[in-house]
Amino acid sequence: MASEAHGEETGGLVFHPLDQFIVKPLFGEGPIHWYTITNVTLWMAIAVLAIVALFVLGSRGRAIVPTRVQSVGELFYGFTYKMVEDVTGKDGVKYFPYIMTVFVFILFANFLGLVPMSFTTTSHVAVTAVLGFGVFTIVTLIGFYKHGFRFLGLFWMSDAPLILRLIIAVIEVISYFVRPVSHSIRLAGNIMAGHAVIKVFAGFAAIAAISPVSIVAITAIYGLEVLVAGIQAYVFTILTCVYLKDALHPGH
Amino acid sequence: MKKDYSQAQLAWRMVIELVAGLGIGFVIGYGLDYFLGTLPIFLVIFIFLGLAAGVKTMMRSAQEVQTKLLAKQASENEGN
Repeated sequence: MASEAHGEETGGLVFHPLDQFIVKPLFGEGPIHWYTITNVTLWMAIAVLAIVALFVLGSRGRAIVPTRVQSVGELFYGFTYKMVEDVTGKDGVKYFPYIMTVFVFILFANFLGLVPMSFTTTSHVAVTAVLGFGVFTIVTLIGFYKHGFRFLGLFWMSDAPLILRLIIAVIEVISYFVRPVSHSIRLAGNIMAGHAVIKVFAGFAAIAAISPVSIVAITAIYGLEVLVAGIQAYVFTILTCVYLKDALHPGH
Repeated sequence: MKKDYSQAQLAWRMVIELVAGLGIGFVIGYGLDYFLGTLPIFLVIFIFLGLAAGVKTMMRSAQEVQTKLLAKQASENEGN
């Protein structure tokens, strides 16, 4: 399908940098419904299985002197726990399991996407928007549960004149909704851009004269992408903690 | 290397916040106009409101970074 859409290029240089993001059904052809098992489903399942292997099977022994796998799991746990405690304070630690789940899932999805021939699930806004709006919904519900309708005081500046107060309230509501949108677009955009750049450099490898440059460039970008995969998961999690702190302690 | 990258990260964050504010303003304005049949009015108003919201979010994340920086500097001065 892809080659029909792009036509046959004559120069020998063929760029399809975005073809790696096509969602395909795994079994058979045909339209994709919400229940169709696609490559996205497969790679998400692999991410979940890898997480289970690390945390459940790895710490099955519950050894006091941890095995190698268990100590890696403990490292992740300690890192995330410290981050949640530092940013949200003691009363945010209750929500640690959710934040840990989100962090580990994004981290594993990002790194599994770097495996050659794999599919990067976090490069789709559809995936990250579910994560981002999930965080948004949960944080907002926690805010309402903790503070009742006083939580709406976040949008109501009581020290401004009444006419301005209405306009400011609208602006505040919009800027509240900016957060999940930027939260999800940032993750998907960063991951997608990096993977597309790798493919563009790979396309240049078809010319023999510049193929060494191309391979060096791919290696360099790949190294950067390893960094991006970790940092984006970290940024997503730390912003989740910041939003949670805002919901627990509203006020400007 | 990692430090430089985190600076770029900050720039990206602010740009995306600005554009997302504009986009949300556009969608709300266009939606209201679509249902009320007053095409340009709410669109224009809400694009400006969205821009203001985007700038506000951007300024807030800049402020967040600045307070963090000042706190870091203060703790370094204490150490000396």
